[in-house]
Amino acid sequence: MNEEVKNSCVSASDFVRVDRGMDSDVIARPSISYWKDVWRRLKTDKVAIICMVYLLIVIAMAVLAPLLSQYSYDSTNLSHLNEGPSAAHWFGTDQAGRDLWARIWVGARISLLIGFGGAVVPMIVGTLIGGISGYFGGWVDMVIMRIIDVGACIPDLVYITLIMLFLGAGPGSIVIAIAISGWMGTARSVRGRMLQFKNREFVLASRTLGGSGLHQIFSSILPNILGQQVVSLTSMIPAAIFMEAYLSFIGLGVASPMTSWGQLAQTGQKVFRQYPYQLFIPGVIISVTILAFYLFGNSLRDAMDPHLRN
Amino acid sequence: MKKYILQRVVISLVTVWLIATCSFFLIHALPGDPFSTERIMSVETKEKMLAYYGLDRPILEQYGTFMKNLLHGDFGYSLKNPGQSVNGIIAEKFPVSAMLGIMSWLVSLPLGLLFGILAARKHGTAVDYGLVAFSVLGVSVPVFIVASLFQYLFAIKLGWFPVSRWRGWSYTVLPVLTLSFGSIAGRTRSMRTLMFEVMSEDYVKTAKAKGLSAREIVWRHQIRNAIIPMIPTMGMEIVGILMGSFVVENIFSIPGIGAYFVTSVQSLDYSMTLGLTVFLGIFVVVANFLVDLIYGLVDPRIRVAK
Amino acid sequence: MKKKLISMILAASMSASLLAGCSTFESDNSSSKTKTTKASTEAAEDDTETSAAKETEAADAKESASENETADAAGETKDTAKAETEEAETKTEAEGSEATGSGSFVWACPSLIGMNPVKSNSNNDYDVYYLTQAGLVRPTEDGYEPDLAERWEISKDKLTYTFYLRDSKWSDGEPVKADDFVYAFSQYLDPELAWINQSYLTYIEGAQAYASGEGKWEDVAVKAKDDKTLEIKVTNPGTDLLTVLAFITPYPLRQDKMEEYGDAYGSSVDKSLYSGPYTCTEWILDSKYVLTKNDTYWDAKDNWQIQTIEGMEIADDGTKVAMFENGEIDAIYTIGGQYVDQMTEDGAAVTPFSSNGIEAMYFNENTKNEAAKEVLSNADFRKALSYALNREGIAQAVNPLFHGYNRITTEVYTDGNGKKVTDEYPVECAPLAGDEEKAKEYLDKALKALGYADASELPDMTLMSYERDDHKLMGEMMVDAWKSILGITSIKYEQYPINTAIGNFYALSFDMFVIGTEGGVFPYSNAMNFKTGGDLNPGYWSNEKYDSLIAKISESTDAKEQNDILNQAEQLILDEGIYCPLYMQGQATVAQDYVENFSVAKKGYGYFFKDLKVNK
Repeated sequence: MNEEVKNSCVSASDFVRVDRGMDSDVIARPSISYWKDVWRRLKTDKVAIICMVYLLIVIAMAVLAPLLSQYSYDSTNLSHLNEGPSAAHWFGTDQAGRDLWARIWVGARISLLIGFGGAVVPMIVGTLIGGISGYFGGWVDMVIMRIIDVGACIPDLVYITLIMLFLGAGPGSIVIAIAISGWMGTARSVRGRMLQFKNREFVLASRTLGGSGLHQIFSSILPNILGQQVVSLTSMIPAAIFMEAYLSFIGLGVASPMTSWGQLAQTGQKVFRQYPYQLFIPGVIISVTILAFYLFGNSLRDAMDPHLRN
Repeated sequence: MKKYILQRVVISLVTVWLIATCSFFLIHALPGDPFSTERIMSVETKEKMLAYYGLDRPILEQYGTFMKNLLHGDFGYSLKNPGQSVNGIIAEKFPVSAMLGIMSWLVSLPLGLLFGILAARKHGTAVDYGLVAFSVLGVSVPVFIVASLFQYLFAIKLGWFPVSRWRGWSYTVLPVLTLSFGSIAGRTRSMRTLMFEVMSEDYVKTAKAKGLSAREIVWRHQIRNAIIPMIPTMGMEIVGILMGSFVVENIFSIPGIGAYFVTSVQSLDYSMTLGLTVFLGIFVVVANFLVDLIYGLVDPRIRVAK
Repeated sequence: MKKKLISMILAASMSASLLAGCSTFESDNSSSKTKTTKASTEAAEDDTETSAAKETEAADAKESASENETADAAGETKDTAKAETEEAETKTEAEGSEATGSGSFVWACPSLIGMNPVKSNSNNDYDVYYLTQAGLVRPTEDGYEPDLAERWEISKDKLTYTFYLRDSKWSDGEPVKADDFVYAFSQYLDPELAWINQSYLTYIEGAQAYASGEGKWEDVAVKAKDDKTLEIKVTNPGTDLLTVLAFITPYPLRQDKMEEYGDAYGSSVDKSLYSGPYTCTEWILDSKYVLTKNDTYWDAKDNWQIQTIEGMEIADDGTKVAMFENGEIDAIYTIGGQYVDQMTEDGAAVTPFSSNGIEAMYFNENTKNEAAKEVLSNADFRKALSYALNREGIAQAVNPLFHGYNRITTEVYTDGNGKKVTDEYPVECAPLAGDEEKAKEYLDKALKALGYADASELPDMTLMSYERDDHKLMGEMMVDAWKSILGITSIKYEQYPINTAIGNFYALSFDMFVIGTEGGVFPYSNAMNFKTGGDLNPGYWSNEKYDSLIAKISESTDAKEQNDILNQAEQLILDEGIYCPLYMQGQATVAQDYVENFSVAKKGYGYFFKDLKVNK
């Protein structure tokens, strides 16, 4: 062996001694908090910025546009039925002669509220329950999973009707109703992921260091599941928006004459062959907004992901 | 293992019983009665009809009758369609919905996975953004709009496919496409995210270090590991699919079971709703059982039997 | 190894189920669809433009021919003739009126719920029974004609009707006997079975008592004198029993088969019996049914030319229109108002009709909403709300086929001289376009009487209805009209699933409710519903004078006297404002240009296909 080393091209002078002084402990970059770092990374992502700006505009419009518009969202006008977009009515009018521009932005309030609430609440509830179920396993898991089985089979319409009866109509009860019929899917998928992660090395490590059960779940495992959940979140938002539309149709949605994007899309679909703009305008706005949410969520997740740190 | 299976079987039976019981009481808690329809009838007439179907008996007595019949596998007669047995309706309509659902699943599963893998591999390129946009569209455009648009474009305007009904293979194309559109999109996104997670795992780094080509890594390691978390959701997915899509069946006039899930609750057709719920329940319980089993087999890290 | 096994099993079961899936396909027994129809339509339109002279010639020929057609409602004949004329271009003149017609007719119609006439709760079923069953008389466009009863005699005192039945057979070969009618009436009047039209049969002597559970069947005056003679007695000589029978069509029933099948009678093709021009040979629940001509029917030789009728249930309006445009179906029972213009332009024969039902708003004087009780009981307030509505405008906006309406009696009824009852007996009521001035006057009077300074102080009230396409839009428009014209901001519109909503109606848990009525047999049928205890009055109002007027109508034996009293009753209830008619629903049937004599019942039930022809 020594022969080979001696005969190789590498000589002793090729090796430089490293000065292990104080310098080696100097941290190369300035210290930065986690969230500041996330923001910094986010700022450099052009797509994220565009999405954020778009979403802020939408929210601003939802708040301001109905107040500034000359038409009220609920004033009918029999002499201006089903008019296409024009200078007088930027988005046209609907079947009752109501200004669609005002209706879209009033509807935005409801849809953003319900869309977001109806996605985030079941997400939180489902994650908690699924996480607990997966982590603790055994009887806890068995019981929770069976409850989910039972709940999944009973038609949504049944408990939604009952909930609305007890809580009355209104965005709050709609969110609760959607949440109750929606948390089960999340719980199940989170439980699956939890089962996957629970025996991983880093979890074992954390346990060895003395972390308690719940703490485990939150700090170690959840961030890993987050990616998947962000993806689901952005498909739960439109699901909630359209669930509200469907509910309003059978009388359980947001009360008349208040409207929402989902409702506007649904009534637009009925006349789309005659008045396509009544479907396309709310449809496009919903899709673009969801896209913005998704891309932003994606970028946010990437920014938060320690693996992708640059 | 045997003990686990036995345990699950018993628990499954209990679950089905629970499903039947909860549904029964919840549905009877809904206000109104099956005969309050648009056809106005006098109060006496309505009371006569309620009495005829035994709906004026005390609730516990009705429950008893229901459970007794259930044990014989008899779901009774539909209230909306007099004389039609619920079993008969399910037997006739369910295969159609199942067929539609299975075909959609067979289409959306491979395509969704494929797109997800593609998007992940070509991260950051136009392909990635394109597929992401496609998948967002898939989940944000609701089924009834997709169905109407497809029907209008491909059947009416272009005439490539029949407009509606279920009379042969060409009739299945548009409904299947409509149904899978949303699932492909959803699966694409999930798969893509999971692929990213897997990409940063240690074993991938190890494989790279060992000198495996990118392709081999993707095929032998990444995909398998990415698919695993999708399995539990597949259980519920299949169930949802088998139960038919109300909207697609409605727009394409397909004689499936989907419509009944909605209309039977709306019209308070107690026997139909309960029949469907219990039928669905059996599927859900069995599907979850199988999925949990497969999950445990496929991923050695998971010990389902604790 | 395990994984491979699992995937193989999965794959195998998937393919097996796919193969099995083939069996789920429906049978395609409709006549081959013609994609070419669309092409020929376009070609026809081209030709029409180029040869104007030929067009007018054909137009004249067609117009005189179509004047004799009973198919289309008055007013539409000219338009459909024009549409047909354009099509006539590509067809050879020789075709004319002796086209033998093709043997089948495929159309989009409501689904069949059951084939048991006694249990059936659905008007649509009765429309189908018109084709598969036969009764004593058969309703037609203008009245009725003999069916299984070849002729009849009415006694001098007008209380006894004797029907002489012709020879006819059931679909299983057994002859139709008078006993079959007697058995049928015993079922229709059975106090436990609650037949939908039971209340109309109470004109028969003894029927009222039996149906309410107090009388005996033996006392009901429906008797079989012999196998071919049926005798029915009525309580009031003023009742035109034949009109009643034509309207509600009580079909004969076979006792042996009904008892044999019990609850399952009528639940499938082979568990039913047919006595009419068609038998049902195939039926897929909520999907389609096929009727085949019954050659043993007495009128089969000269009429009822179509061999097979296939009725398809197509849930979505857009799909119906698409299939029609594709030539896959020959007619549509109803389409939504938004398609009317488009389809008329395409050359289809669109026939709007009104189903004789009135959508109306009811005020509840006994509402559980204490604060609103006084307000709702004030007749001026009610009228203010009524006069403020532009009924015609709102109805048209909701659906171009709807028309505003403002009375109880509809225009289908004629008096003894063939004149419309509504013309002969006018009432003072809210004009169709509304009257804002008068509405404000009424409101001012009401506010003064109730002690409110102005409309914004009124208590919260709810306008309620159940889910249906038109209700939400209509409700919103009404609420907005009251807000902008009268300044009332405290009324809200609420919508519920139908069972809940109707439950609320009967439980009197509403302030204002919108619900529809079907027209009845007689001009006064609707008015009877509003008397205290009437079918449509669960207790929101009670008026002695109105009740006494209604009682007088029932006792009256003279049609003119009945109409006079009806007029007073109608004026009374409209002055009270408790019943606020809004609009009449409209529908439209659509038929391809090659279909002749396509007609459906506007009053009562039936698909009038006796003279239907399909010239493909």
